[in-house]
Amino acid sequence: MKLYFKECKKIAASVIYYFFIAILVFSWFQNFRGVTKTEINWEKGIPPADIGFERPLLSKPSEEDDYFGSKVSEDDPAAIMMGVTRALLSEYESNRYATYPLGYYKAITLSDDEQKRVLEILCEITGLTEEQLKDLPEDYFPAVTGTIISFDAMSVDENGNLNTVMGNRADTESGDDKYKHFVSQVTYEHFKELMREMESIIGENGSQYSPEMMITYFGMSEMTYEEACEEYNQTISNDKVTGGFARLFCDYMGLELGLYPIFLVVLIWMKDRMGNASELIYSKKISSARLVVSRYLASVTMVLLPVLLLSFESLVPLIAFGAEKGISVDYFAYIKYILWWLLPEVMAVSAIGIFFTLLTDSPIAIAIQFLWWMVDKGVTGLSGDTKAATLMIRHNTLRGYEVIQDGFQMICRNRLLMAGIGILFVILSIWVLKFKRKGKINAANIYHKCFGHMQDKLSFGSKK
Amino acid sequence: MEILKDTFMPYGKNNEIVIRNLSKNYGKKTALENVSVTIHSGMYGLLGRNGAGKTSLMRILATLSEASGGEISMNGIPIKETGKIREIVGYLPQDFSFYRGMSVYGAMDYLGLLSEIPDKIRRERILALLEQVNLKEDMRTKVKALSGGMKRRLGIAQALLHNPQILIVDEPTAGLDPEERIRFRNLLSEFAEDRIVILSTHISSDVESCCENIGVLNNGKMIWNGSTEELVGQAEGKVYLISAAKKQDKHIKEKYAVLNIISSQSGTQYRVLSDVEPEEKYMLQPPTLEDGYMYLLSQTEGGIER
Repeated sequence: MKLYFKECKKIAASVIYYFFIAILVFSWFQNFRGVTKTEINWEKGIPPADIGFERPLLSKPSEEDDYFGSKVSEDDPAAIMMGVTRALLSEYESNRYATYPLGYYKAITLSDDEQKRVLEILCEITGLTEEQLKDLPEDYFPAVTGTIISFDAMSVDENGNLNTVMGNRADTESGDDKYKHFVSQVTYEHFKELMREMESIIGENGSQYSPEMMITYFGMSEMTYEEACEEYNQTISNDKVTGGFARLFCDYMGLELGLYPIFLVVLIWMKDRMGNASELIYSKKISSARLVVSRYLASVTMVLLPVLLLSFESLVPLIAFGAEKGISVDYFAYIKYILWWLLPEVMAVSAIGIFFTLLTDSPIAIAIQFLWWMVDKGVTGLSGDTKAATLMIRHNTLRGYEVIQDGFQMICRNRLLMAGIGILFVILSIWVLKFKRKGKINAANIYHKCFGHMQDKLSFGSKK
Repeated sequence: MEILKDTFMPYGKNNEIVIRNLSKNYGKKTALENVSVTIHSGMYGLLGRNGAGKTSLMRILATLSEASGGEISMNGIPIKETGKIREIVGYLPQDFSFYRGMSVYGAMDYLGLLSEIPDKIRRERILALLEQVNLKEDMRTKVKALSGGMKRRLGIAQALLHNPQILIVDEPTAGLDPEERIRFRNLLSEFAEDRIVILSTHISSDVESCCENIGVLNNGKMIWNGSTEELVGQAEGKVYLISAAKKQDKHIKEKYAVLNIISSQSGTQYRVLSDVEPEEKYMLQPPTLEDGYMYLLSQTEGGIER
């Protein structure tokens, strides 16, 4: 225990730890700071400048309300088809199709033949000719389709705030004149087939025409009073006010904790070598297991400590809000989420850092972790996309209690796997350290064996 | 040269290091070859050129490297029981350094924790040792601010912290000024009263005054193991002081193994090593340990450099 505290103190005295905290605070400041206060103020009747498609999370819906918020669903196929067709027409005109292989943007340009086929698809969906498509009326598409909002739907009030006119959303019932307004000439099932063809023409993953993305981008519809009430009840009863905030907080923090702790861990272990302290430490009585575990626990603790402190910015106002309104608040929501959501992630990242640094005497763990982080960030959707090997659970919303509940078994399996990876790499690290202390593993010798012949050839060449 | 006739006792005795047929290979390179020696309590000097295998031997004894062959027991404990060995061995590596940003006390405390010394005893010992090595006033000073000598003193203090029965010190005086070297040697001598201290060096004067017994390593082989006096005696009647004119310099250097050259207004004097009486005018000199060591090297295949 003493060594654990000493290791914590050592970390607290290192410059790299303050860089780590700075990155964490910066990310928190950019993404989460103020979210709680905004919601509390909104409940009190002070809406934020940018409302978007949301409604106040903490205020009870009333039947008299004009708007109950929005949801993403496949309930309105006509709206989805309209939005997708609008996007397809725009990309066809520029011949730049946005894709996201591994989650990162890549524009695809199609050949003339492929463009010709896209045009045929557009004509089939709209029932218009190439010439008619080139000369569409200005209001052919409504101002709002899915998450795409045209400037017509926006206005600036007397205070200079930008407002979106939600009433000007896609009205899929009216306007059956295919020449004046968009009216799909194909069924939704056939439309989906055409979009699957589009996906294969583009040839990369993550375009707007994949079944999931179509719904995510264009499947937005208004919630009913009953749905809004259900959402409110979930926030108050199931989440006990704090749950949703804790999830969003962990979503943002998880993104940082999937990468940055590796710098801290690698430096802790590299410091032994840089300070010429390895031999001295290795010659001491302490067992390799105790040394690795003490340092590991210290790094995990010190990584999560600032996260815990940052959570108070949200927790304290929510406790005050609960007390004021007489609503029961879960005081421990943040701690619970940090422990089961973030801890396994930090365990995995830290253990990988220890193992590869000990094995190679180099900072290669940073490159390995960076790759994993990049791929994981790219392939994981913003919410409800947790797979068995997902490093960073994403849930980029204050809502969606049910999304977490629906995927809870998978999330549990995933977090157990991450914790397991952490424990496995700690055990491997102990094993590596044991051998290193006896001089049986020596990275310098391995490098010499691997690259020595190249070095010899090079030096031979230079002599010539 | 003393014939290595120790009888190997698998588990040795207390206050005794028994090394038998020890060898260490790094790939095709042999660092130690068939080394056998028994080291009793007191100061034991390990002499040898750079690259002779001293550090390899020291690292094996400190459990930081495994032997390729042979057996070692330290105070009756086989070397393979690394946990037990680390409990009884204190080690000061060749280039002692520690976390630069840590204070002297902090470094001692941390290393004491790694030696699993209980809190109260650790605190007491740290203060006592820092006093002993004259670093108590600098206990808040950062390691990076210490001079070379202060660093070595910190090194020896940390090696003694867990009160080891055996102390292994690798090239401890390199880079120290004469005063620091004397202080350092005295410190080790005090500690060696009822324990084993192995001091490795390529500077013979380091071991001459304080080591009762000496081992000499050359090209991985133990070419001498015996008392300091016996090693000095090797050069008895073989060290001469030759007075010669400056123009004979080249001739003298080619003919003899020159140990020292003293230039003065009256001429140049050469302290040389020779099996036969020189033809030049000479004075027979009493040998020192360095002379004995150099004579020993001259008798082995490597010989001494002329």
